[in-house]
Amino acid sequence: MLEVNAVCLRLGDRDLLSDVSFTLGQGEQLALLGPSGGGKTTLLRLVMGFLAPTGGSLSWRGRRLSAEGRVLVPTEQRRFGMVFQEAALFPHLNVTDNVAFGLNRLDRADRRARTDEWLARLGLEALRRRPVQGLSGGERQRVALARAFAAQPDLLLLDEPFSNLDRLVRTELLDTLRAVLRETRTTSILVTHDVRDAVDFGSDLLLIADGRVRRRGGIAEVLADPGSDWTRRFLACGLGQTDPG
Amino acid sequence: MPYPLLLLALVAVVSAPGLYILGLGVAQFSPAWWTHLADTVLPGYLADSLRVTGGATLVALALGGPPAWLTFRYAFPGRGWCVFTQLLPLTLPAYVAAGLYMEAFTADFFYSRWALAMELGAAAAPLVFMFLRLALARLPAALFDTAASLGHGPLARFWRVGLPLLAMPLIAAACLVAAEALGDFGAASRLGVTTLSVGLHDQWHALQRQELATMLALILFLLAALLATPVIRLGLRGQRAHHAGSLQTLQPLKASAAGALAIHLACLLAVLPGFWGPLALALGWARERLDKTNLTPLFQDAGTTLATALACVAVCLALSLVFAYLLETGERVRRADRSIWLVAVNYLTPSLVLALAWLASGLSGHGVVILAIAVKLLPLLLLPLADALGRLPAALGETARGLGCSRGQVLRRVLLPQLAPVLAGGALLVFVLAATELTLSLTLQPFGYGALSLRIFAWAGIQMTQLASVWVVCLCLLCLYPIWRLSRLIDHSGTTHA
Repeated sequence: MLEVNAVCLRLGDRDLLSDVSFTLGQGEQLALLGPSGGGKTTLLRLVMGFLAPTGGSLSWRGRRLSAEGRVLVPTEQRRFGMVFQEAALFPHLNVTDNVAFGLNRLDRADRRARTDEWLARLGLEALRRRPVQGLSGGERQRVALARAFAAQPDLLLLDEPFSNLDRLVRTELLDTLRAVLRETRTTSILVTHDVRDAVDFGSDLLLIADGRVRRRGGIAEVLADPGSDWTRRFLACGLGQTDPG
Repeated sequence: MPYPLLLLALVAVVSAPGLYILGLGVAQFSPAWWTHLADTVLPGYLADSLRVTGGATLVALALGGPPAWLTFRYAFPGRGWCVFTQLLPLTLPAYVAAGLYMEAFTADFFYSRWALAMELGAAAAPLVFMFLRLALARLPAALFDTAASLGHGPLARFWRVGLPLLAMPLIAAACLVAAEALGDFGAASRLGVTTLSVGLHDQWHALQRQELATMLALILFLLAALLATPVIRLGLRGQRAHHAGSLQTLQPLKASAAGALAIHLACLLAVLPGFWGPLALALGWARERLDKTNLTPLFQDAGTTLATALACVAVCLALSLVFAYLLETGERVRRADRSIWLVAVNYLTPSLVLALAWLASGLSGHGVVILAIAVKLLPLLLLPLADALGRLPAALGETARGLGCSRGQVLRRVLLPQLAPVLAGGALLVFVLAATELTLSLTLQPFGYGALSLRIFAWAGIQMTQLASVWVVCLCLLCLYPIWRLSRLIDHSGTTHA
């Protein structure tokens, strides 16, 4: 279980995050939704350990990861996977080597087997020897997902991975992602500013804006009861509906 | 005249000296002379050149590489000072250090080709430092973050992600240093090492064997052309392949107190052979000699050096602006790659080879010295400028044109504000290298022309470097402020890319 407890982040005289708290159970999917610049990616980077909170704490399975200005467990020891918006594929490696990148602790046979498994699962077998520079946006994100899943993370964080893709490719990838998450029971957090992606992705929704939590709850619950005018307008705009006012 | 043709005309003009040598070598081609060269002096020249060039390259990478990584990756008190000191060897070129060391020490090492390799490497280390700092500033942070998320600690991230990504810029930097070492004349002649450049000078000036000199010039020109390709392809341009869209670059990590101390020590040691050592010697002698020195010729030489350097900067800036006007952004820049390669070859061609071409033109005067140095150093402005232009979205200029701006207005109101840091950095580097330039000034100097570099070299030639110590300190002081400004630009370069 991930516990984010009253986390704050202050940079200079700006509060990037204020009093953010939530928990995420094993196997749950959380969509972190909000407008651009609202603090979603910052929260993700705190969870990953790239930043230390100014206040509050983060814990995973009862073990403290970060607290008040300190990263207690460095990123490379957390076993959290991350998929970036731009995929962040290593340009000096081909598709197979990118997917295998996080498996260097395994012996050769296991590494090969795991890599082959995830190339097949994400439909990348035909591209296995391809340099990554020539891949399309959808293919790049598939490779990024395969690489993250191959390392068998305890928690998978996705930072707007579909925002550069067209709707058709986005839908296909989201379906693939949901199926894999279901099969592997991986806990995950998807950051997005697209309401439809959030609704299609997760079971739970955390709406964040101006560094503060605006609404938390199940998707259906939040849609039925936004809780505030701002939330209602944001959700209505995102779903292409007329604001009921 | 269409813009691409205008651009080619500009490139042809600045590449003329090198192309003249190429044409002369081809026109005067004689198998008999080539055989004679190969049977006599060429093997010795090549062997010495290879040893010195190889050694200098290794030294430059060792002295320039680690400080580039450390000052980029870590934030610590005094980081700006460290960046500044890494550029200081530019103020004391190899021919200065060679003279100072030879006069101060009697050990055989300081009279050997290995000392030459050390001095050339130490003098070229700032180029490696700047090259790598630029490359590091373009590395996407997401790649390192991803590696961390996949269980890689700092060392593993450097080894498996950082080093492979830096491989191309490292090779390009090595080629740049090799070209600089190959083209050196001042330090090599001072130490009596018969490299290809010294051999060229001997054949042409001392022995008056024009045919052999032409052939040696052609060999040096072709070697420069060979080295130019990786510098262009793998250096700045090669990094374009790493980027896709908007990317955050690496942010510095806070170093511990012990770590900061270690970095300061590493940076100090890196600059010891190329700057602090020679400066200490020069300052010691200058202090003894200052009250005995007639300052009038010193001020005259300093004035000429300053005027020449400023004039070179003006010429280079003017030509670069014309280039930018012709290129604008995006597609045009990509088509101009071949032209830019020719210009780069001009920079990497040894100055002595270019001097032969200028002498053949029959032109003379202070203006010719300025023009020759400016044309040689022009790529230091042009290449970064072309790279920066290529990175600007074409939509910027197109939007301005759609709003009624002429091409000149697009350059002035849209492009120049974006390009100002690149132009400033290039101009500062041109100033320093023009002020310390020796070979072209030595070869093309008109009667009565005096410069700090010439006076230092003349006195070192008769083993009176102590007399030149005040001139050495003056040269260093002249370049300090531009070096400091350049270090500020480098230290603040490349955070988030739009």
